[in-house]
Amino acid sequence: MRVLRLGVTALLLTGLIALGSRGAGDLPPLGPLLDPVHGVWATSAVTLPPVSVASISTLTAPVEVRVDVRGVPHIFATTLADAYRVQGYLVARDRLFQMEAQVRAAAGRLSEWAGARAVESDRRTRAMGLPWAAERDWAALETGGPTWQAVTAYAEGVNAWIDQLAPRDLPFEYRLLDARPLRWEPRFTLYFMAEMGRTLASSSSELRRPRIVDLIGAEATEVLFPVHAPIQEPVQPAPWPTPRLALPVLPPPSSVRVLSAGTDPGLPGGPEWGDDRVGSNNWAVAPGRTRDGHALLAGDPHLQLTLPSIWYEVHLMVPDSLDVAGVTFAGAPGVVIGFNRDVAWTFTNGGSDVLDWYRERVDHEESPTLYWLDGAWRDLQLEPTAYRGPGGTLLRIDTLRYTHRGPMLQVDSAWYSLRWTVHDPADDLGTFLRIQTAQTVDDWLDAMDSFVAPIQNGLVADRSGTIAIRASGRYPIRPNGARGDTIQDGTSSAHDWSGVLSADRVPFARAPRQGFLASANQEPIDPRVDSAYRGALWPAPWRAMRINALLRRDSSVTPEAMRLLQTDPGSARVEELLPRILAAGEGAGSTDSIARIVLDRLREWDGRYTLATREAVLFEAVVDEVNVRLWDELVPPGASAGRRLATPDGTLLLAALEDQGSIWWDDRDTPEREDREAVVGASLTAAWQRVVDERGPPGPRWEWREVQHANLYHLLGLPALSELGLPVTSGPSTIAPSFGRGTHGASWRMVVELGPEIRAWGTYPGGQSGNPASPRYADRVPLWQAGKLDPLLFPRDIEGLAPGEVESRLTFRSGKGRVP
Amino acid sequence: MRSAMLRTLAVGLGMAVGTWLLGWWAVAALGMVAGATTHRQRWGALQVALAGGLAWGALLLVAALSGPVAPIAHRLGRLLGMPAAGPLVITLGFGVLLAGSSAALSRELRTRS
Repeated sequence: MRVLRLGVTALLLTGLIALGSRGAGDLPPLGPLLDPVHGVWATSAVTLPPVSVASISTLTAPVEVRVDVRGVPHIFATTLADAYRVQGYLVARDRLFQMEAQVRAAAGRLSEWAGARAVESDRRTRAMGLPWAAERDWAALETGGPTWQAVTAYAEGVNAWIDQLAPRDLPFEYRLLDARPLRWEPRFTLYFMAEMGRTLASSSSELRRPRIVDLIGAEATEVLFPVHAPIQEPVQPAPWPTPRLALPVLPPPSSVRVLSAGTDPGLPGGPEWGDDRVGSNNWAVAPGRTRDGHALLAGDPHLQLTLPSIWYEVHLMVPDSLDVAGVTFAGAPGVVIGFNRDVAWTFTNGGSDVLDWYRERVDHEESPTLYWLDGAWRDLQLEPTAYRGPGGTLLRIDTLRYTHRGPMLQVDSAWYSLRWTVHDPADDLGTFLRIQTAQTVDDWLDAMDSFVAPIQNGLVADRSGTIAIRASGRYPIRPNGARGDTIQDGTSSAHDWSGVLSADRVPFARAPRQGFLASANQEPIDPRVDSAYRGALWPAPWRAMRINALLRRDSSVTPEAMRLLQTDPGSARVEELLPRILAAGEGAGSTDSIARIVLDRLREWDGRYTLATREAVLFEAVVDEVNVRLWDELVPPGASAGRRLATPDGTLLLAALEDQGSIWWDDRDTPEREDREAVVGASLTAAWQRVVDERGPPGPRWEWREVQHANLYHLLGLPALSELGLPVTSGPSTIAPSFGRGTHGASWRMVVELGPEIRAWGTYPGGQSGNPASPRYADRVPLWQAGKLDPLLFPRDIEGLAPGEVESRLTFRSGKGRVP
Repeated sequence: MRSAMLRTLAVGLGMAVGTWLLGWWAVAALGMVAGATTHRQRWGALQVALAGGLAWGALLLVAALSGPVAPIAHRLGRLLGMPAAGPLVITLGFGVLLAGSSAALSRELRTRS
């Protein structure tokens, strides 16, 4: 009995100590986690002290910080380097885990946190050459130059925080992962820039397009997945009224279907044809069309919605050098989107094709060391790389391979090398730092000249009333007029890029006669003006059409109108598609009572994706059912219905709706020849049935608020640290598009009025703090969800902030150690 | 009775200080010591377990006074799929079990020797 007791207690204690020191499965070590002094319960006090002093050993002079009531630090420094040091310190204080997570994602080092389960993701990252690109950027940076100084000073600030980190300050997530913060290196900022390149410029259709050609033929592929958008509402205003509809007649699909199996080829960075995409917007209005006679600018970049937000809000003030406010990435010095005393600016993604795939001939299928070029074998540059787990355990060793074009990776047993402007050594961070000090639109455009990748529609306005937009970046020229949407033959250097598009071919507009400018990721220039190949994955221009239509209608725009536009529930897609669907449905002459009900309900719909509307869910179901029937030729043989290889966007649906007898309306699985009316009629009934099956009879569960939600996931994907299921006033292809899982959306909304004194408003989904226990972790979410904006404080000096506007005063001094 | 209470409080105080200075495993180490020295007491192991709970309970109270214990409990509770009180109970339970099992083990060893 005594032996048994001894055994049981020994076992229990051993188990507890093992659980405490090592954890079990996904469970982190419980001892350091639950320890009430050093563990998760000791997470730092979440409210900032009213007055405090901190130190950074490399500061050259004291720096004053005032954190305003929105949690935004206003940094008053005497040198640029000191301002960036303090910025690094403060961002690390608020977002340390996020900063490291982003760098690890870009460096392919997530497995050091997550173990073997992250190795595949890390392998993809390294194979795509992201760390390689960042290291090339770093190597090309002029030592002692402005960018080098900025990232070095920023790193000093970050490390000053890490060095003084009290146990209670260790972010929550490190406790969950049982990890310690990595020391911040200046080059880490460049890793983050490379990661943005992947986010914004890695979409590519080359590998999937041949499969579509196999399925429907080259001619039909060319029309259904066109290089130029069938509706033109370009970024650079055209010399004729827009939108210009150039809807094509759809050629029949090829009768020979070569592709026989597989709907998901598992390609990296798949293409994104279709309407429902991440959509950034920006627009500016010249003084002649605003109520108060000042230029107005709205920024509305859309990205993945995360907690904490990708953005961090800050105001940097250095007398005679810098006075800028806005948002920056957690991990980058300066301000990326924002305004100074004279100029305001923002970006949308250009979406141009800056990545090409080259099929390579290699000497060995599994482990090549040579590639064939211009009639001879060439050495591949080989780079062994190790993947390590927590504690440094070796998980895997790979060899990275490079041709003269860039990284080479294997897809479905074939080897491809990548040529990608994101890999080109560039100082894009330096560009962002330079635009902060522009005093006019022209200054700003000059500073943007050096920008490389990814292509950005940079919109700028100044206090003199000038507005301008330019799709800045490096546009590759393919030899012999080749396009970038097909796989190139890698065995000849004759297929290599032959240069970059000259500055006068870059889409651009300054002080346009129409008095406003807008971009929404659409094709930047009408091919009638310039048909040079710039890309092939343009989203349908529904958002641009809506923005432009509303701006044309209003010749007395106010900041409030700009704000309302950002969450406008109207949709150009609905305006174009709905009447045609109704007409086809009526034309079907259906006696089906359900089809009639659907038609009646849709006819009464105002076409707006408001929270209470019950018709939006029906409309989306109808469009989906029409797509299933219309594009059945895009389902590979053997695949289940609806599993299309790709879906043409809504402008092609519009083209089909214009053509009653198009062969595409025919259901290839029935002996009869269906036409538009038959398909739309059947879709109406099927849509109703589907919505009823999913949501029951018409009732509150049909309301849009029950259908589409924004989901702000924590970086670790933990629901407990996320804000999920947020109803939003927006739908597919509205100005604030919301679709699918709702994981993408407006990451920062800003309106700036460029009057004698700059006035600005803004918000983002999340909060300034990355500490899930902080009241500033997600405090801005309700405001963002309601489409409202906060006034942004922009004091000229410390005294410019009223006592009631200040939450915390912080003084930084040179020295070591934290001052209590 | 009184001496038992005082002993429990003294052990608890030691565990709190030990946790503060050395970390969570101090509870197990002090539990071993306390179990060995109280092996003749009938409820010695339970007293030590109680001391572990008191120690961590007091430390949690201190944490609550200076930090955001409630929101952390809320987040952790969501993480673990339980009410906010759950993580607090688990924390206290971990301290109790750690102290109690180490005391029980050292008692058994001491008794055998």
